[in-house]
Amino acid sequence: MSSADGRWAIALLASLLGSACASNPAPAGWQPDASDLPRFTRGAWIVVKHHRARQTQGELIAVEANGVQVWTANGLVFEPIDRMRSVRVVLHRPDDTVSGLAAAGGLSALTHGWFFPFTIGFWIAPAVGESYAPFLSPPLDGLDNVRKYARFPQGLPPGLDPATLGERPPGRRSPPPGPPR
Amino acid sequence: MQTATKRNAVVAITLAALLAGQCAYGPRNVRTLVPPGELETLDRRAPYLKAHLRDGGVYVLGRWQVDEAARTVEGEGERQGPDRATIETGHFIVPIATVALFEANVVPASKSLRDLTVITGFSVALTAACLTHPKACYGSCPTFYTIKDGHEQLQAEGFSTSIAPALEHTDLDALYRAAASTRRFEIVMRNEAVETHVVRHAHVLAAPRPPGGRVLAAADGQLLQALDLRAPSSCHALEGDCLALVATLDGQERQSRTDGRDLASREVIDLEFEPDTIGEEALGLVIGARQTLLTTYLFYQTLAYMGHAAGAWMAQFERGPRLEDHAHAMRDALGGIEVELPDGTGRWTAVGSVHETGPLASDVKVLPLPRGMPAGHVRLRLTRGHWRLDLLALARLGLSVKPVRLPPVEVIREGEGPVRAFTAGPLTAMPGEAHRLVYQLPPHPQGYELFLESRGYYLEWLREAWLAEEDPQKTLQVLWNPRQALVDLAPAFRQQEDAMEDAFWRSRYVQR
Repeated sequence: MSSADGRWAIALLASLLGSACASNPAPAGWQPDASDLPRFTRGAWIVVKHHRARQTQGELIAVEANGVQVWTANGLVFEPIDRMRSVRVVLHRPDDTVSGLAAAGGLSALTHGWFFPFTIGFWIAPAVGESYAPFLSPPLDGLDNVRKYARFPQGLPPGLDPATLGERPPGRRSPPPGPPR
Repeated sequence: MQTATKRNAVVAITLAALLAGQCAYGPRNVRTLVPPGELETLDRRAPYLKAHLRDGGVYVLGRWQVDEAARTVEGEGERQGPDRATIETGHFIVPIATVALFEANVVPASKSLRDLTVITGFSVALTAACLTHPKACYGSCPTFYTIKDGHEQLQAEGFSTSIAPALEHTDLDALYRAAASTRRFEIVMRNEAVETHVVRHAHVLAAPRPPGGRVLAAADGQLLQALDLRAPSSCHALEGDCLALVATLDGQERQSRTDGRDLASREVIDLEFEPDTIGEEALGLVIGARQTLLTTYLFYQTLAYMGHAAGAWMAQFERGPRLEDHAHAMRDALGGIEVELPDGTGRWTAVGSVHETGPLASDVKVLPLPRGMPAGHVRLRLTRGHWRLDLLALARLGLSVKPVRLPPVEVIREGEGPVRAFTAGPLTAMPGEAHRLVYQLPPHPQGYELFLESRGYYLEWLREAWLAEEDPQKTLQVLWNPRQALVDLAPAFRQQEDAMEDAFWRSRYVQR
């Protein structure tokens, strides 16, 4: 492979991997590794997108028949299904080993000469796949499938005081409501 | 490959990989929730059991077990409150009646990490093989497999000498080890190299076998009944006795090494057959053989010498027959397996030769011997390090047989489904592609000897590593003075000869 081809290939690899790999909306340090999920007792990170480009994100507390309870930086928020546009749930952190190995492997493919167009794809697929592995995007009529990833899969305990849910997850707080006009 | 085409290929494959990546990998967690009444359905492989309580608290228990009689679960761990702060740690016995829901998690191994491990192995092998032995990189024309006991068995390689459209020709290979038990007969045609294959046709020829005998192809394509095949009583070559290696077609082959001075150096192998038959009847020498990697090396070396001009040279082949003769000059200099018989005056007389191009699959052919000459002693004269001999036998020849010619009734591209092929035009196969060719054999297929008649050509893709050796003068030498080229290249070939076989198979495009 010529040096021009090599530069072009590296640029392509970097830009495609950068743009194609899924970005993780959960705050750094919030999520467990996949291997720690059996002992992790908090809910998965959930992002609820609404119509009009608004979104709510935080810890999934419980799934109810008509919506989800989300523990946000602003407190406990109930999001009814009829206001949702889409839902994304993040279960765990992606495996850094995979992305590191794929990046190194992608560069090694440059030595494959004319095989490069074929071998590069084999490195990209697992890296991209790993970045998407922690995500679930359930249909709005199938939210019950993510109930098991809530902090309270049995449902919100009756009479629960939100103040007993512990520390609020990090995130941007909504401004306090203004004076009535 | 042209740069633009290459870039398009990279983009296309990359996008396909991105899609594949997004689709092929899912969350690494299998979580199950079980109500207390169905505790027996819990996944016992789960390292921890979570018992969710009605008040929002939770027990996380390791080394857990269920006491069905006492209706309790117990284990080591901790109890947490609704805020998930730890309240208590230790050994717990939890009454099932207090639990709202049990949760078990199993985390399978990372599929992407597993895939990358496999890819790493392949990639390292490919990198190492192609860098250290660039002219041992896997190459083949279409390979044809039949299926036996669920496993593919390599039977033939098609039109190996057809390296350009102008050199397209028809190849006839015996499917000597294929055993058809039903009328439906399948052949898998693979492109396992970095080449483009253009297959004009792939017919099965079914020739009725004589009772107790076989049907073999002669060099001129004639199919002859072969009876009473008998192995030699002795076989002597440079290294000594070679009888065990050539007595049966079993994959145990006799081959030698080049001498490092001249790639066209010849050697002789002397065979004896009993009884020492004087040819009152028609006899033929049966030869099951394939080439070593010498031809592959020389072909790739020639392409390396051509370098960036390889395309122009190939175009030149298309323009006229003059250069086509030179394309075969190297092959002619290496020669085939020449067969000699004693002429009665203490000398040996050449009576013909057998030639089969390709290093992958042994082909079995018969060379009819002239009547009236003693066939008890046979001498083979062949280029050192050029041939792998698996079977040598003497057969009594019967009638010429007219075969039934069968085109495939169905062609299925693996991973895609049935395709229209061979009817409107040739079938083009790209690296990694496989096609299942389905044939309908005549009734009682066990009574037929099967052959594969393939026609087409293939285009070798130039490898980056070869370009470093571009040398127009050497190109001319290979084409116009191949004898000298064979002397000049002998030391370099000898140096890597022993390691070539391993490098060749490791660099196959499709690892199997």
